[in-house]
Amino acid sequence: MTNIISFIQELIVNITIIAWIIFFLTWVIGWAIKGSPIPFLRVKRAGERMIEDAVWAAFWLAMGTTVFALIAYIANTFYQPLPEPPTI
Amino acid sequence: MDLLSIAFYLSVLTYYLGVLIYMLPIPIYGLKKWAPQLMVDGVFSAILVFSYSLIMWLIQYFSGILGSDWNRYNEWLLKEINIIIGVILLFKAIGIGLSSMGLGFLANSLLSPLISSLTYLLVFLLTVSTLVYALYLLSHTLVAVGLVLHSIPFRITRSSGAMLISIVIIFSIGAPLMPSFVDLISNNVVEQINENKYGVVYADIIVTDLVNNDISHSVVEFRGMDQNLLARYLADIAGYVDSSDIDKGIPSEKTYMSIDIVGYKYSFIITPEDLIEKKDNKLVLPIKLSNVISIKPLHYMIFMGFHGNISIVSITNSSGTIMVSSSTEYVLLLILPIWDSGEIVLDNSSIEPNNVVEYKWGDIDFKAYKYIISLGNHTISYEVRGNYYSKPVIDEVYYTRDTLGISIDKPVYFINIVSSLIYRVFIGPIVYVSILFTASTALAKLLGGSSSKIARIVVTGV
Repeated sequence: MTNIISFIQELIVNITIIAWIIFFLTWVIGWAIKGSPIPFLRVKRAGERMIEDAVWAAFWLAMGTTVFALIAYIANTFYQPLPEPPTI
Repeated sequence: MDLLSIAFYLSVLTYYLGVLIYMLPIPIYGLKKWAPQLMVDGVFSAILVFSYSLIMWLIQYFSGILGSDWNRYNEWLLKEINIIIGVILLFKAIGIGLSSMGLGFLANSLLSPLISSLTYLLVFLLTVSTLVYALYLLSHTLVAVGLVLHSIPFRITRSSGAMLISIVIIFSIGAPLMPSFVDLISNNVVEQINENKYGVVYADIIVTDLVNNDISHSVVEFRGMDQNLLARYLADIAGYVDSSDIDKGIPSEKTYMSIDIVGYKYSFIITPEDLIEKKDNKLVLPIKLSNVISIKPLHYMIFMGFHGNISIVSITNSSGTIMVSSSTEYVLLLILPIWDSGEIVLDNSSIEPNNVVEYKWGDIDFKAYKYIISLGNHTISYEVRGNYYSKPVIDEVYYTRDTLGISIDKPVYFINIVSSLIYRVFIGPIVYVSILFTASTALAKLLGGSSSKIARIVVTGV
């Protein structure tokens, strides 16, 4: 069990690292396409969308820990003992 | 809790995979659409994982509100199993009775298939109960496994996990309510065979006296432990009760038995099954009353409150001499039809009775001479004059026909018993399990997708 957990944890760390690398890559590619001296608006818009996606994804990547901490907090807050059920 | 940790980390992994796909500089819509999906799935799975305690608590809470009680469920199960086993044993005893009467074909063609169906019914009931009970006992583990399945990325086992969680929730709450549902929809046909808690055996009864002479026309009664009359038979002139007839039979389990000899009753608790002997291919229940001397039909001598030995000196069919030694004072009764007479000679001198009682029994008038004999050794001679004989009139109650209400002339009755049992412990539970199954599917849809196949296999095993 512990092995599986550490395996998944490693996987998460690796994915996070790869994600950051890909963020920079996408960001660079996106700017490269957007700033390229070609008169095709559609291509340029695709580059812009890439930058947008990458920035949003970077935001969610950075917020990941916060998101799960928030879930844990809310779940624990909501699990309040409810009144006893009436006996029939 | 390890399973929950795995489930949590899997949901985190799902989330980050979603983010990773979001970032990919590949403008393929088919791939990109997974990104928000995976992120939302990860968050939802994490919420579910953290709600594990809440889920288990909700199961308890709703069980309490709806009045789910596993003790009541177990009692119901035990009662149904007992009824089915009772009916199987009853049919088996009737089958043996039929075979011994040369009606084996009836036992083979009618009763054997019915007994088989009842056996299948028993297997079904026990399997369903084991399954339901296992779901309840393993609910913590199964919910955790369901959460792990639910959290695996790319929705590979999401619906299976949701189904597993919802099945555990719904069955843990709903299954103990099955007895109430079955009671609600079932009829009362099965109730009339409840008397069979005393079993049945087809055996004759022989009632004999001190010297193994037959006691003619004794009335043999069987009563349940709550004193309700189960059977009443009149012995023939040879002291033989022909109770192995298929309409008759006697209880096989522990019951009260009483033997009435022209108005004087002997009662004791007996388990006929343990005392039955096999004589000439017939089952016989021998009963010996060692303080009665049968002089001739309807003429008896009875020793009451007697503690000692009786030895026979000589006996003819109307007189006799016996040696009696008793450590206590006792009452000697000489009972004759009112038209006959008799006398007792104690130690070679004729004695007068202390009391004479006249009464009616079985539509015949009797008189009983009552002698009080002191303790010690005595030689008692008796003589009766007259040969009055008439068969007593007694209302007989046949055990199989009257008490159990079974008549071999109406085979449909046997089928009725089985079909009402099938209705009660097969169709009822199947309908109820289907209701729970449908509810589980609906709940699974709420939790992120349903897999009816998983539900069917978990619930029915096929």
